[in-house]
Amino acid sequence: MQGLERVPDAIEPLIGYRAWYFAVDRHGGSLFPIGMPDPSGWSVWDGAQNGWVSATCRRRADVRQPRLDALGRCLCRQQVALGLRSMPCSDCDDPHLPPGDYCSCGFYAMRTLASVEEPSGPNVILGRVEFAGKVIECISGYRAERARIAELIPIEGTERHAMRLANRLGLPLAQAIAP
Amino acid sequence: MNIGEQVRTVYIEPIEEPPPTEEPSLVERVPDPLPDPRRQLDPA
Repeated sequence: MQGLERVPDAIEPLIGYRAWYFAVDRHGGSLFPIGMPDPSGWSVWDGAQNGWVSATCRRRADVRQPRLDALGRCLCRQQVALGLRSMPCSDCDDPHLPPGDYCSCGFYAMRTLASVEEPSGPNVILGRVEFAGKVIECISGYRAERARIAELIPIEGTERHAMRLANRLGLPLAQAIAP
Repeated sequence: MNIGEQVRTVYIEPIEEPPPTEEPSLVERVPDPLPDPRRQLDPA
């Protein structure tokens, strides 16, 4: 069910924790997912320091030609009906509101700060984030449609750079934690 | 990021909250174009 059509389960955002690579220059600061180590371009987290930002699904640009039946329909739903597969193919899940149930899109975070496994380095920072919209709750974390950053949490030894970043982004900075 | 097996899906209303540090905007006072009727009734 698309998020806009259903009654909310809650109005309080879910809280999660995650790590980013960060970059600071005289124009501002940026946070990049750990899986995207090249801090030279646009980040999905741009603007999340000011309010809700929405996830996008990049799979739309990578849709394979589906296998169609004589009526132009993908065979996967028939296969699901026949019990030959458990779920529709990922292409037929499109278009979907991130996070797609059978996709990997959406904003990610862990449920607890202790469970965040950050890489070492001077340009890594942790943070507390809030999630809303459609949120897929998982055992150790969340995958969400909308996100905003509530607080940055520096790792000991990076406080100076973290303070510059927090000032650039206008975000509160928590006490540093041990790596 | 390994967030584990999917447990359930929820929908959280994304409530917009004003930033806590935002200063209240100044309201420019505009003179009332009409005279106050009570003042007109008062003896001079």
